[in-house]
Amino acid sequence: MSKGSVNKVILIGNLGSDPEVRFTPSGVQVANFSLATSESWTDKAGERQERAEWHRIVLWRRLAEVAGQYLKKGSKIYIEGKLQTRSWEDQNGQKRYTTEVVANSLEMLEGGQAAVTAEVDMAYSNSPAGVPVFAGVPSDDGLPF
Amino acid sequence: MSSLNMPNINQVALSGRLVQDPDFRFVENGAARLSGRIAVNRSYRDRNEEWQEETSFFDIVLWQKAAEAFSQRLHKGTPIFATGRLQSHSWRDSEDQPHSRIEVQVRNLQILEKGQEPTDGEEVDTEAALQAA
Repeated sequence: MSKGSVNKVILIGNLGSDPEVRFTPSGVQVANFSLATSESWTDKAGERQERAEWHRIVLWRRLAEVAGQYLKKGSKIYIEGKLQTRSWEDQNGQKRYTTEVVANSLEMLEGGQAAVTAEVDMAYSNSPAGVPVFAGVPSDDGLPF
Repeated sequence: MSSLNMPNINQVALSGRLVQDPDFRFVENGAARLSGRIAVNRSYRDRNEEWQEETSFFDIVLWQKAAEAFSQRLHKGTPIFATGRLQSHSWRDSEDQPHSRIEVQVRNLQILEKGQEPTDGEEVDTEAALQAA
């Protein structure tokens, strides 16, 4: 429980990559993946615009296991969790920060059918920034314990 | 069971205090932008059943009328409740290193001062925010 403060994130989107599942040195299972939420709006000129937003998702323990077993690139999911920032050091010893969504609830909305995967591929190419920049995040970087 | 055709959803709700006076400016396209950082505390019991407190910092952004309206009302220490969407923002620094930051694009904001009647919050023009971003 937490006393009198709110930190809640709700996302529905598609996985941009297969989950990366591993164990911490203390034996706790953890899964990471990126999730795209696409949104569309009409601009001043009346043109329909679409943009994908990318989120870093972290799941622990049982949810990590479920993610590893059932989720893959393209899967559409609902997650509920909290926003968390952690710091790590890049190869130049610079302190860097990453903000992630730590999920505490997960619903699978669709399997990873071909159509869904195709949509995500489109989201990648339509995203103005292209593939999200998580560069420099070491794959086995600072877990909270 | 046939699945519901769920739209994409990107929603966030945070309560916290501004850690400094927010920054109000007009960006290149003339849009008013108010940005600030809030500290969000979380209390939890550790393995030894001791209460621990952990603080995370998040950046929030308001645009246009909301930015102007709140620029005079938000200060270092102001407690707020904000809802909106998460948006990432990437750039390269002077040494060509990639950076990326997550901001909350605020859609609704309430000031949580003691002694003030809670209000319904103030809606922010999301379309304008999207276009300005």
